Parts: sequence; C-alpha cells; structure tokens
Amino acid sequence: MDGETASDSESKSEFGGSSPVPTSDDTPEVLNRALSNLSSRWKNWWVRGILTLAMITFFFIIIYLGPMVLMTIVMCVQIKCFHEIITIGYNVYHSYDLPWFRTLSWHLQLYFLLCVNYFFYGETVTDYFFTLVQREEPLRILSKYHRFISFALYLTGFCMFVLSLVKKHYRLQFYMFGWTHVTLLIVVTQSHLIIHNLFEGMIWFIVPISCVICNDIMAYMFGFFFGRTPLIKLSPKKTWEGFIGGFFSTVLFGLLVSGVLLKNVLRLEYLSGVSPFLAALNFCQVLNFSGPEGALCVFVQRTVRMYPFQIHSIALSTFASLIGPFGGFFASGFKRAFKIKDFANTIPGHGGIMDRFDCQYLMATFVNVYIASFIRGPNPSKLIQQFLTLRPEQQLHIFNTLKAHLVDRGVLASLEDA
Amino acid sequence: MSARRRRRAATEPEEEEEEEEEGAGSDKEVDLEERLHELDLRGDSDIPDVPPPTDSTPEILKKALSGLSARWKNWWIRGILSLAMISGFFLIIYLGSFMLMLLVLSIQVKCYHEIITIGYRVYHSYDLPWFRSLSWYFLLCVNYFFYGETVADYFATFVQRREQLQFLIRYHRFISFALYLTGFCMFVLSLVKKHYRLQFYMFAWTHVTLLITVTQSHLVIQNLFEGMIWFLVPISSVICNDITAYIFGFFFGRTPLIKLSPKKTWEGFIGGFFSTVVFGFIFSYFLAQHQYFVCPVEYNSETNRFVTECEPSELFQMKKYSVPPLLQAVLGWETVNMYPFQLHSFALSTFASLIGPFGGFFASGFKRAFKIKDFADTIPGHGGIMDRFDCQYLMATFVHVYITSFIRGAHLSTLGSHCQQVWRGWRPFRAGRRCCSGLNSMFPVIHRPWPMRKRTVKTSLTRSSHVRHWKRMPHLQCPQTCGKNAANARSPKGHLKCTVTKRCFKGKRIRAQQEQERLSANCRAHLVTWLVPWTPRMSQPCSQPEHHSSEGGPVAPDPQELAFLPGKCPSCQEGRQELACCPHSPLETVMPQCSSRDSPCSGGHSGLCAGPSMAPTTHGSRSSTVLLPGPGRCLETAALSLSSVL
Repeated sequence: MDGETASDSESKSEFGGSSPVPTSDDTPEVLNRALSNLSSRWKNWWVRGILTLAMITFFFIIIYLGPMVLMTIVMCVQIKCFHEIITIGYNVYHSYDLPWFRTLSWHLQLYFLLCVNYFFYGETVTDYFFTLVQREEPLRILSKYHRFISFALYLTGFCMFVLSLVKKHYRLQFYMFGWTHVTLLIVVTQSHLIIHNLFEGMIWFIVPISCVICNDIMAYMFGFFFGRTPLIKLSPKKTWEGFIGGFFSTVLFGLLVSGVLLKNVLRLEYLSGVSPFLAALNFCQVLNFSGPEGALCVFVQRTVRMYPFQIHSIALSTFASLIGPFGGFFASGFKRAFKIKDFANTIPGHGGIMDRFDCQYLMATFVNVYIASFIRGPNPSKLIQQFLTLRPEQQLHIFNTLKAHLVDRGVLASLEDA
Repeated sequence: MSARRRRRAATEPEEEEEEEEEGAGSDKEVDLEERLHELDLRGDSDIPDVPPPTDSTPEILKKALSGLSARWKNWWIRGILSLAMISGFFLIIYLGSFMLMLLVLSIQVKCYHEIITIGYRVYHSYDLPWFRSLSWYFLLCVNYFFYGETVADYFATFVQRREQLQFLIRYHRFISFALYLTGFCMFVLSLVKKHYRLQFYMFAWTHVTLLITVTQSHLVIQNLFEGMIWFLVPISSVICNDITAYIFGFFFGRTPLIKLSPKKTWEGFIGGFFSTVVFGFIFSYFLAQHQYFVCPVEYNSETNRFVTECEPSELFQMKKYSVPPLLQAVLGWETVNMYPFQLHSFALSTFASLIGPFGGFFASGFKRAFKIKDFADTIPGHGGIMDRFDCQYLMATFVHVYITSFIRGAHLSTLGSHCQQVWRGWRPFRAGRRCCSGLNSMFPVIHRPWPMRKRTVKTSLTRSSHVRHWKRMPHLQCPQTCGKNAANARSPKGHLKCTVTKRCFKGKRIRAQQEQERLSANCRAHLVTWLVPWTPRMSQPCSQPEHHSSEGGPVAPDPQELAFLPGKCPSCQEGRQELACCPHSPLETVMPQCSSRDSPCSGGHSGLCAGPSMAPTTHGSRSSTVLLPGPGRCLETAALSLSSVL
C-alpha cells in the first residue's frame, strides 16, 4: 500500500520510471536549444505553445483543403488512437514478448479494426456517395450486402480468436479481446460520428472541435496564470480557475467563431449547404432576438441581431467546456491506472494524439445527438417526395387517411370555406 | 522492490509463476494494483479464483436418481430440466409475442447479472464505491436507448396518442445520451485513488457485457417483430443442435473436437449438424402453415394488442421446386412442394450448427480463463442462463443480418434515420413492414432452380455525372447560377465558376430542396436495389403485380415487379427506353411520370425523364446538379441499369 501513495504523488514525472514504456523526450533539437535557458515550467509552456500553434495552422490548412482530406485525417487520427491504446494494452500485459501472441493477435486486432471500419464507413459511403456506389458494380455488391459482409468478416475474426486461444494465456487473451473491443467502441464509433457531423455541414465539424481546442487552451492559460484551487484529484494540474475561465472564454469564442464563419470567412454553402435544416431554420438569416429582460440594462439594446446558429453554438460550447473535460478526466484516470504519463509521445509537449483528442470524443457524440434531436425534423417537402415514390394505391390510401384526419380536426373544412 | 519486480515482469513474462512465489515473501511492499496485476498475469494456475458453484439440484430429483452413476445422473437431470425448459418455452410462445419480449428482456437482465457477478468475483474482496449501482444504471441507459427505438418503431400509434411519450420519443437520443453521460461522469467522479485500475477494468467489463447482452437481445426482439418464425426457427435450431450434439456425443463420442471444451466431440458436432438441418427443415414446414408464426408482429392501437394477421408473403406459400438432378436419381422425384422459407431454414440451421458452437467455445474459453465451471447455478445440471444462451448470441445477429441482406431488401429502418423520421410521422400503422415482408422471395425457383441465377437490377436513380468531382462536393452547391454548367458538370472549371457566384448565397431555398431530394432519392434508391431472383414471373409478360398491398402505406416496390424482363414483355421491345412504356414496369413505381423524356441526360448518360417529383439528385446530394422540380427534366434512371439485366 505504501508504494501506491508514493507513486501517486503530485508530480507526474515520477511515473516515468515505473511506466511500462518511459516516454522519451521528443522535443526537436531546435526548440530544445532555443529554450535551453528557461526554467522547465516556462520551457514546457513555450514548447506547448509553439506546437499548439503549429497544430492549429495544420488544422486550418486541412479545412481549406476540403472535406475529403478532413475525412482522411479523421481516419488517420482514429487509427493512431487505436494504435496508441492497443500498445498500452500490450505494455500493460507485457505481452510484447510472446511471439505467437503478438503476431497473431496484432493481426487480429487490425482485422477487427478493419471490420468495424468497413461496417461504419460502408454505411456512410452508401449514404453519401450513392451514385458512385451505384455505378461501380463491385462497390454496389459491397454496399448491397454490406451488413452481411461485415458480419461475416467479424465472425471470421471471432472464430480466429476462439481458435487461437492457448491454454496458458486464456485470461490474457480475453483481456486483450475486451481491450480491443472497448477501444473499438470508443475510437471507431466516435470517428464515424465525427464524419457524420462533417456531412451535416462543415460548421458542425469546425465549431465543436475548435470549441474543445479553445477550451483546452484557455483552461491551460487561465490555470497557468491564475490557477490556485485544484479541481479534481484525478488530474492535479487542473484548477477551478482554469475550468471557469475556460468556460466563459469558450462560450464567447463559440459565438464569435460561428458568427465569423457564417458571415464572411467561408462560403456559406461550404458550411451549411449540405444540410437541409440549416436553410429550414433560416440559419443564414440574421434574425432579431429580443434579449432577456435582465440583459437589457447591460446591453441597452432591446434586440440583438444574430444567427440562430449562434444560439446553438452556446449549447455546443457549454458542453465542450463543462462536460468535455470529463473525457479528459477519464483519460487521465486511465493513464494513472496504467501508470503512464502520456498515451504516446507523438507530439512533443503534448503527448500522444490520444491525449489531445480525449475531450473530443464525447463531443462528437454530443453533436450528433444534438443534431438528431433538436435540429433535424421532419420536412414537409421531403415527405411529399416520399409519397410520390409510392405506388398509386398506396398514395391514395395515404391521401384518404390524411383527408380523414384533417376533416377530423376541422382543418380541411375551413380550408374549403376559404 | 515493486519497481524491480515490475521491470522483471516486463522482460520475463514467462517466469510469472516463479515471481509470484518470490513475491510472497515481500507482501508489504506490493500494493493493491500490483497484486491485481499479478492476478492478471498468473495465467492458468490451478488455484480457483472463484468459489465453485454449489449443487442446487432439487431434493426430489436427487432422491429419485440416487441409484444411478454420476454420468447417467447428470444425463437425467439435464434431460428433465431441458424438457421443462422447452415446455416453458412453448407455453410462453402460446401466451404471445408480448410475453416473449418480456422473456427476452428478463433473460438479458439475468445474463448481464451473471457476467457482472463473475467480474465481481474475479476481482473479489475489493469494494468499489458506486460500482454495482453504476453498472445497473448503464444497463438501464442502454436498454432505454435500444428499446426506445423499438417502441418508437412499432408502437408509433400508441406513442402518438400520449403527449409525454411523444416527448420521450422525439428527444429519445438526447435523453439516452444525457443519461449515459450522467453515468459516465459519475464513474469519473467515483474514481478512487487506490482502485483506479480495478475501476477501469470493471468499466470495460460492464461495457463489453452490455455490448454482448443488450445489443443481442435487441436484435432478437427485432427478429421477433419480423415474424415469430424468424424468432422460433433460429432459437429452436440452436437448442436442437445443443441437444443432439450432446446426445450424439454422449453415445458415439470418441474424437475430441477442440481443446477448449474437451467434452465436445466431432461425432456430436457432425451428428448435431445433420439433425439440426433436418429439424429446421421440418420445423419450419410446420410453422410456415400458421399465420400466427408467419406474419410480422404488429401493434394494433385500436385493440391494444399485438396482431399477427396478414396475407402470408411469398416466402410462406407453397411452391413447386424441381429437384436437382443429382438428388433426382436418389429420390425418384422430379418436383417437390415446399415453402421457400424452408430453403432459408437451411442457411439458418447450418449457421446454428456450424458457427453457433463457436459462441459456446468462446463462452467455455471465458469460463476457463476465469476458472469457473458455470456462469451461475440457476438451472441445475445446466449452469447459468448464460450457459444455455452462449450459442444463441451469435445467432441473433446472424438472423438479423440475414433478414436485412437477403430477405427484406430495403426495410424502412435501413433507410437511414432521415427517411425513418419521415415515415414515422405518417404511416398509419406499420404497413410498410407488412408489405416489405411480402417481398421475401429469395429462391422462388420453379423451372431451373438449382443453379440459381440471381439477377441484380442495377438502379441508379440519381445523376452520376459528377463522380469525378466528388472531392469538391461542397463547392457544387450552386444550382441557380450554374444551370447548364452544373448539369454538364464535366469540367471542373464550370464548377469553380459557379461556386464563386454571389447568388449562391441566396439559394437557400434551392439548397434545401436539393437536400430533400437527395434524401428522398436515397430512400427511393434503397427501395429499388434488390437482389432480383430469377423468378417464374420473369418469364411472363409484365402482368399486374400480384402483391398489391391493400394496406397502403409506404411500401417498397415488389421485387417481382422489378424482376420484369423487357424482352418478354409483349408491349415492349428490347431497349431501355421501352421500360417507360411498359405499364407495370418497375420504373413506374419509382417514377410516376415517366412519360416525357425530351432531353437525354448530359454527360453521355442516357436517361429517362421524370416529372417534378423525380428531380434527380447527384451522388448523394452534395453536388448539386440537382435539377429542380419541373417537367421534362432529365434523369439518369434505372433504365440504363435495368438494361444490364438483359
């Protein structure tokens, strides 16, 4: 029990020695030299700052390049995250040294990743690249029997797993199986949802992600400068000041960014064109909102002109700054549980990719659910379209039902009178 | 000490056991997690982690069987309890589908309980704060999510009548996400320093268990709604396979099958396979005669009951099949009368007997890994509920996938959420289901059945001239200004030109419409892509389709109609354009106004013309060459693809 308290002391760096793979310092030489005369605290700050800027620039470039590249990036991030988590699993169970286990199971895991990706991306592709799929014969078969194929693929993997069970390592193998599946559940479904959001309109992708990033950065800044009160035991570096400061600045940032995005920076259709509901809600129109009574004295004006999307952006950024960090807490709890400092050391000063995306993962689900629940509704002209695809007698049936219903409610009669 | 040990463990995993002995001397330095870690690494030592379940055979049985040897005793106990369970099962079937649903639900909860309990026992002696309540809470959330969808689907009318329920359904996803999120945050907040790793293990354990139990039981219920037969035949096939494999193994078993479960033998496996196939064939013959089993289960809001009445679909109507020549010699018959479903039952029972046992192997590997004999001791002689249902779990998914891929073609629920929402609002009752299940004709073979010829209708309802530019999807949103350019849409320049135009910004309405069209086109296209079998009807003139659904409602076009062959149609000649003239051509169901086709599609694709409703959409919608409503618009239709049928 004593060892536990020692290893769980405040400074994370102590973990370095005891973690399965001590993370080596990956900071580029140039940075190291330039920052050599700073204290370690400020050094870290600069390293982080510079790399954050680099990443943000990279993000902008990718956004500029278009959704296909974005999708590819999401894919890559997903695979990298999967790799990182699985590697931790291996390290935890020290199973790298079991040759048969490693080869077989590593393939199996990749295989499962492939299956699940095929399942999810297949659905997306059939949905959104419909014509492409229709034209190409092999693609069409793939999408037609999509579920069956992915099930068969998965089943093959499953049977391989069962057959690969070896006596001495049953439990280890089951652990890895469970580990793989939970990882898949987290990583693949989330990236699938991100891509779905992307298809709903770029803005649904950019605003949430940048909100989370902003919250991370602002919380770090506020915590760095004003941090006094620790927030949660799990990650001792997080402070209440950072949390609250992050919240306010994220809400502000969300409002601004969505306003700016909708107004001039990017083409509107680039942001909203792909989604019907944006237009249906007059997203792109500047509307007048009467502010709440209390706010009157502050703003003097009785009405505010803003895009309706900006109101939604408040919900998004609130989530990003209040619930999003729980993803981070979860991740840091996970890291503590397995006594690692970072998931990997891909980005100097930041840790692995997974360290940066821990808060994003809840966000993707939230945006998806938010869109499904509050934004997208039945659309009258869509319904009409649907009906016209039916056979005549079915159309008649619906017509009669509708008529009866309307007459019932007295709507139709009044219409006729008019 | 602990650090050294850990390092050693990293380098010499093979010496775990030695290390354990060595570590026994230095207990004080080993922290909790360390010990846990060793527990993981211990491999298969002989020390049982979990107390063996006690014998809970009823007293009466024990007394009656006291004179028998242990082997036969077990046989009798198992036999009697199997019979009891099977009769209980029949009773529940008799009671109706609602009871069956409840049964599935309770089995699910029980299985969850069993697996979670094992998790507790494996990591015994640690008391985790909150955990028991949290895992049940997660079960609730996930069930709410899945069952909510089912309820919204099948009890639409019931739901629409009640305000509160409507609210629940409308924001269903959001609510379930919020619920789950609460659980998640509770978990994060309940993390306690000493137990981090343990808590994460249990978290993962809970989630994998949820993944297995809840999704599977959800699928079982979905199958049930497809028609009782889709529930009964697979389940009884698995049961039959279990029983006959046991019997064959018991009497003839010599060669062990797999190391994982030494009691299973090749003889049992093979005997089980054959008897399951025969059983499935016969059993489905009996079930297919009754509407009660055959018809999709529907909820009737007027009588507040489940209704299973319908015109049995093609799948459940007696058909004549010619026997393959090889079998002809053996049987001496040329034709056989049977239900098409019986052919499907082959697939089901083959799966049940060949792949299903892998679920059992998995479970027994799991039991071995955690050194337990049975999951629980609920049923004497059998073990826990989970022991009986280990093979069922793969089966449910298989049946579901089988139905969606081969039987239903396009069910409304596969159309994606957009479409589903649309349907949900309107259908008076689930008419769509009924009609869709009327499409079940995978192998309706009369004249040349055995070398089956599957035909596919290549249908593309949407314009596809932009595939080359799909990279630029979002830029192609500018129909107003680009007009022709977009329609031609061959040169990337044209696109760029039109995207830059300012007027695009004002094309909100148009964009919205495009989007709607995309969605509907998606739906439509889903509806017409079938696997079209070589049906007898294909050789007949395009007659009036028999499957007029009198119920109405959104119904997918019948594959029979799609299966028409222009070449055989008296009023039509070969050639794709003739499709439009054929009165009952499949296209008509899809394109009501397929009369005027003035302008062939640009981009080298021939097309038919469609009325306003048929405004074509481009690959998914994104590139918006979607031409807006207006007669005489050009549509790249199914014609092209249908012609490929020939």
